[in-house]
Amino acid sequence: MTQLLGSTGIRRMMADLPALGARLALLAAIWWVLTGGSLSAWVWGVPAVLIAACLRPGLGSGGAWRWSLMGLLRFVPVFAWYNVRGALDVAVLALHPRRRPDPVLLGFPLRLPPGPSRVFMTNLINLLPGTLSTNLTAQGIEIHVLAGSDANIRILTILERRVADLFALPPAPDAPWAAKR
Amino acid sequence: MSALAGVVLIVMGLLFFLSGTVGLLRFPDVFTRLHAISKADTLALGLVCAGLALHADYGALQLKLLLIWLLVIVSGATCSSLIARAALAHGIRPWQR
Amino acid sequence: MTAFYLAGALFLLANVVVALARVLRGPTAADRMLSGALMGTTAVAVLLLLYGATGIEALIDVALIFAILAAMAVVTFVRRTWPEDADEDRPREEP
Repeated sequence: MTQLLGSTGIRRMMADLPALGARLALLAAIWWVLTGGSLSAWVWGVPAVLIAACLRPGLGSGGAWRWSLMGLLRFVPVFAWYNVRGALDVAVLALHPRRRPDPVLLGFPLRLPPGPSRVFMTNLINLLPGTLSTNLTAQGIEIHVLAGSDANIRILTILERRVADLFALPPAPDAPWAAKR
Repeated sequence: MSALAGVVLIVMGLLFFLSGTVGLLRFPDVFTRLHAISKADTLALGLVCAGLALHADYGALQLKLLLIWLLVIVSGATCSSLIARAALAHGIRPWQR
Repeated sequence: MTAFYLAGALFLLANVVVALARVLRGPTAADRMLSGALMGTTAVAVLLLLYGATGIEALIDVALIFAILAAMAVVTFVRRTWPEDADEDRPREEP
């Protein structure tokens, strides 16, 4: 947000320094993992990490990502639990001799602000029980529900709260969460 | 003990791969099949990675397995949305009972 | 243990052969791409199991590359082979 309030280039660079440091640390850790901790590999690793950190791969020109470690720690178990349930759900539906999918397209109004948290949520939906995101619009996310059940939508609202927490966003006032079309 | 747990995890992973393939063959349209692939397969690979990590003997290798899994989760989730969106844009309507 | 890993890898290979039916039947290009994505994930798992059977660590690196390439394949398919209309932000007609 502060970037929108007319900051100069230099101030933005200074504000970017912690982010650059975080990127360097993350990329160095990835390099360490990829090379299995080999010391000689750092001959290539140091320039590769430096170049990649300066290019900001994949993040484009968006503002700095804010996220919270506590939010991540709270997010992971909830996500893991529902991811397992989602896989079990779809496995049972696939293997069961008589059950068939009963899909429906819904709109899911998002309370997350535009930005990385929305994109994250859009992709996350695909890993949760019975939901698949088909489009991200200004109003929310279009989802394809595999076996049309309200429980799946409730899970989305639970995860949406966790995502807001993960991205260190203030809790949004409750809104009606789903409108059938 | 951890060897046995690893075997159990890998067998569960194989079963999820099987269910993903069955879903791919049995489900009626591209969207329902995307459900089968995106959920069952990422978890299946996660279970295989976790099983192998229990058998692995040093840390960097286990982290590399975790990295592979994270990569497949992220790409699997993103690609499912990409395909679903493109399918809708091409006028493929979801199958309905 | 080696036999277990090899059996697992063979099981997954059989799985891929069955999934080929979806590539042949389609009916849409997206369905075929979908089986491609499944095969990418399965190939990663097969390589990891082969690592378990043989202990050759390079196989894990190969699996990593396969994971990256599988993602690239889908993105390339959607962007190049099967592109949407040029004006992406136009709202679609409701069904």
